[in-house]
Amino acid sequence: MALDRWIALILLGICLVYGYTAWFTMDAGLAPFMKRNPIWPSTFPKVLSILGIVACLIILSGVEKSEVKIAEIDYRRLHEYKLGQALLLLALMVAYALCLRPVGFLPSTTAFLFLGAFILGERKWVLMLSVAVIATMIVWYLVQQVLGIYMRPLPGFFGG
Amino acid sequence: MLEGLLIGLQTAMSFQNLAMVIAGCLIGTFIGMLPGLGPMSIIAIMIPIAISMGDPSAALILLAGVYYGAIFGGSTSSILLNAPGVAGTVASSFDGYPMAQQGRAGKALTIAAVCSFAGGTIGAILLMIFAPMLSSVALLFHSAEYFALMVVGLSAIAAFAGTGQVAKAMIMTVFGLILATVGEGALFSLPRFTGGVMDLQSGFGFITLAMAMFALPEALFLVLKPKDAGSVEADITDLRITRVEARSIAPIIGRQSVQGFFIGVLPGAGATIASFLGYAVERNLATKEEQAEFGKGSITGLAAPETANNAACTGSFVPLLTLGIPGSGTTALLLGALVAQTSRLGHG
Amino acid sequence: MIDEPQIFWAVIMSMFIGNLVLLILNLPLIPYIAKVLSIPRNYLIPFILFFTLMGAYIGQNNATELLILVGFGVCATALKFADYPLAPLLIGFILGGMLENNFARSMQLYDGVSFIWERPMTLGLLVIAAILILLPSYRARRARARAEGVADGD
Repeated sequence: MALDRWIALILLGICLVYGYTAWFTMDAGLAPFMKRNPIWPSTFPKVLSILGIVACLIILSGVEKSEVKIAEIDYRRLHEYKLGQALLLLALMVAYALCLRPVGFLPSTTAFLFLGAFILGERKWVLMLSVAVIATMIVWYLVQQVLGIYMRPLPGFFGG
Repeated sequence: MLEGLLIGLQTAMSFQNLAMVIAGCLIGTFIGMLPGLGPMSIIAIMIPIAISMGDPSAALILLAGVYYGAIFGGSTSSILLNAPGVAGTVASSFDGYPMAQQGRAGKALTIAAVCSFAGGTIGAILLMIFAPMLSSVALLFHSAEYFALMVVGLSAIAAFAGTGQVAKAMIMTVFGLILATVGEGALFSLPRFTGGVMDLQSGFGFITLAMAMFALPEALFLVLKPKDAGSVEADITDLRITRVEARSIAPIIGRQSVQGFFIGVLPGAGATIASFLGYAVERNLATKEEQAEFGKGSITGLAAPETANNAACTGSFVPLLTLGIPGSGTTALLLGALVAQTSRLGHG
Repeated sequence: MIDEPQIFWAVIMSMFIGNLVLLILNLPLIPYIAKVLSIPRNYLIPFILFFTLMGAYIGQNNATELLILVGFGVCATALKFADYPLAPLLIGFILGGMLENNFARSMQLYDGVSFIWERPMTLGLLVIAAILILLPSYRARRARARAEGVADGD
């Protein structure tokens, strides 16, 4: 079974869960006065779940003949590409998301830009570090001073 | 009208107001170029500055400049990085980003700039002529018409349903609609499908989804499969538009600036729907060869949404300027700024 | 605002000036802006990723949004591998909220779906939408039929 069928199967699962929530659980907590409305909060999701299930079944059944097209990246030979770099970068993004609040904006952003270039194979240490620090400072100035969006700059114990 | 025109020109040409236009446009473009900052947030930030000037026309001129400057600059990140920061420039990335990937970034940016200019200028001319008449038409639009208009906007997806792709395009649209139902709807103030997660109460952010769907996969693809640097380098800074290209863009500018303007006039419709509709309509009007190019770096596919969103942006000033009703979230902010200036608005 | 013609006309005039200023300022800058793409990959990619994170954070102002971004990004990449078009998803998301709200409001107003045929403008727009959706597939089918008739095998 090709990848697009597998994905259709997963999407079908999501649609079924979504549909179950819409059809069987959402109306229970509805206030009586809202039940007199012609449209309920669950009406639109109900319609969507049916549409989604139908579309998934069309893909799964293979009624529609899709032409075999060579995609930009052939997922069957994924290991031949730089998969390691991509996974490491994703992990780095998750780490950034988790660190932004507790560690603060300045250290986490500098580390993110530095490690990002490192993962991609850059080894000019001085250039990497200066680019990361300068870019962090510029973005910080822009976000904080010009746009006035508050972000904790430094780790909590520095009083940031 | 001629008299008003002259008075307006005189006011607009005063040193203070000229400085405001230029400052507003510059700030709008440069901040708009950063992915993730839409005109709403920029205007919200600029409002205190505008109010402190104490002159309603100068304030409005500054904020209007920021607004269309942001739409103007917003297309840059759509085209270069596939990272639309404003919903109104999402459609520009459909063809603009493929163009940039083919080494035609300079040309794509030029087309975007020229079309934005044409859309904005023609929109302003239409604003001058039609504003008083249109204000009453806009009020005829009720929720039923808006619903129908959204359906028309959704029809832009047909452009992505290639051969054997209809079911895939359909399921993707349905999932987009499903994601939109997460969180508290405006009408039913009940949180739906949040799974009890507090941060999902307000639903998914537009920018989050735009980045996740467009910019992030593109960046990951670049990581997975490095492109040969030489091929992109070729004529990246080549700005020239050939005469043949200019001839194919001209009718689009004509049609889309008018269509975009009239969609923009409707309160609440705005640049986003205008750009999707412009894309869908121009794709249907294109010849078969051009149509095959759509989504793969067609200059017509870039020109249509770029013209339409700027014209719509101008059009959204009609209800604001004539009735004092904000036509979009952004003009609502503008209105707020104006009310703070205690200027008399509309008839109400 | 018509009551204050001075503001009305001044804003319109400033729009002409503003558009011209934007064009004149931007055209000479385009070669430099386009050069963004020739930044070495090792530096460009971390910056793109950083800006996607920043955009999501500023938009919603919570860190959960960043995890959602990464999660959806991975899903979107998988969908891209399988050749699913991603633009319809975003279009659906942008229009979905407004679509549902307006539909719900008119349902309440008319106590049913009768507004679809009772309001000519609504009906007209829906017909336009149907044409826009159906026309491309009709044209493609006709073109295919013609190609088969000619039998040049393409």
